[in-house]
Amino acid sequence: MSILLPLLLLASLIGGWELVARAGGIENYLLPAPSEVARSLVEDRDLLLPDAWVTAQEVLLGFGLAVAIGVLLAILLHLSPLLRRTVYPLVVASQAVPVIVIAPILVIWFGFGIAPKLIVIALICFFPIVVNMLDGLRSVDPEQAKMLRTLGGSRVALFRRLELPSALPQLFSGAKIAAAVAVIGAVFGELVGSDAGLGHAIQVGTAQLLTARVFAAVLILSAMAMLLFALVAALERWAVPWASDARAGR
Amino acid sequence: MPAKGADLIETEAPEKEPRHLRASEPPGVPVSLSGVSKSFASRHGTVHALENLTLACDPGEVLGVVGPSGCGKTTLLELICGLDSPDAGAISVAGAEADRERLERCALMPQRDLLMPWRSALDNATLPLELSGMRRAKARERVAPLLERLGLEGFGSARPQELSGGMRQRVAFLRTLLAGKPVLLLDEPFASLDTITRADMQEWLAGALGDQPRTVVLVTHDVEEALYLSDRVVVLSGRPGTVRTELPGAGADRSRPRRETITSHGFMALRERALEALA
Repeated sequence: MSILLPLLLLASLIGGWELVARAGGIENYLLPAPSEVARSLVEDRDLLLPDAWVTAQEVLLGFGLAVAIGVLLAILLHLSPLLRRTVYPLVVASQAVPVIVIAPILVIWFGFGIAPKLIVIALICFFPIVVNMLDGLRSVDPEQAKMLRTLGGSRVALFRRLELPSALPQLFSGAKIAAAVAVIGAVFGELVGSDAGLGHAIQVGTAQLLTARVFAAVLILSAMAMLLFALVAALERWAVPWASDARAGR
Repeated sequence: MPAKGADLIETEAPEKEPRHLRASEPPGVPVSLSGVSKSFASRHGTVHALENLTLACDPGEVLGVVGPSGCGKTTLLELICGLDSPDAGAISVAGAEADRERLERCALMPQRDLLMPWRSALDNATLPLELSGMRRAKARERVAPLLERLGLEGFGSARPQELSGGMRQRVAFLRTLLAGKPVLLLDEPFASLDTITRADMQEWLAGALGDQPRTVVLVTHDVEEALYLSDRVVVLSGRPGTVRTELPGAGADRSRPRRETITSHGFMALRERALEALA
């Protein structure tokens, strides 16, 4: 049931779009019908698939980088109040700098390769991870912390046995947000300067008015984002089963 | 009905007990408070939780502490076990007065079971052993039989959410015991349970304490619970808490069935006196 309703909505939207596109009056290169997008998806697959692979690599690596940096930073900020006071505001400030401004500079520095894309993705993705993870680490039940002390727990034990597991559900919340925007970061990095990837394909397609191919590329990107999100969600159910139990009200 | 806690208490000391206190010492050590005061700053001004409180608990004695809610009972336990220091007065546990030393000698069982949702029932109980450096596999091996004796057979791998309130409380109690401390501080241990489970658990605890005495401070707002489980009961006044009166408890009758004890004339008279003191 939970999947039926959104599917129904999607089908009717696509159906309506198809009807409008076919009724004429709108040029093909402005609004291709869904059927034309599907055809492009099949016919241009030799073009699109290698690009998709390039983007997928960027997304996965960039996302992984963001998780690693985000978790590490959150832990450091949590353990050191001094660091938290000095670095945390800068972390927040880093999100105020538009990626639009940074991306071209990164291309100047690092060229058309994968590096600037990874940096852009990591820059967008690490923030929700740091913020959520840090909140998780800091929101440990104080009663539970006391209990651990009376049982003979040291500071290290407190971190390992209580704070880290308590923060896992939050970490996954942050990672899910990051997963959804990681693809945007990749496309962004590619639009600014690249010779491959779906962002590149979109850029070329737009210039040539191959609108159906542009839509096809966007479709693949959406699928990629959903897939990554689903992957993180599945990992969450495996790693934090108690949290989903609690949500289900068991 | 869970088996009586009987030989639970003897088994907990790990071979390589890093703390200098071992369960092989005589069960229980003296606890004393003299002239203890504690107040907290709150938004509505200073709250005087305890004032000039003097208490003593003999080795192996179960001391019940009852009082109206907000009379500083939880504060009292946190002070004894060294999680907090008194503003004035002195607290001694087995002769040690420093916060850190008291913390090493006391095990606190809080009101809420505070089981970790990511650990199974068994692994929640093994926590203190792991904290003292025992490998998890070994700790499990050692604790699994104890869990069975608590009536939790087959529930070792269950997560806390899957257990009933009484079961959770028993796991929490086992965890407290396994810390291997000579002093047990119980903070409303059964407050979250329904009446029937609560009566069961009281009877079970009475058995556990009777078979293997150690120094216990039991804080509760339930007069009957305090009188039934304790050797001696102290009634505190409302905030700030001071000793209002002291009564003997039914601790000596722990081997008798609970219902028999609590319906006896002597017990009813004590209950009357305690309620009077509380009023």
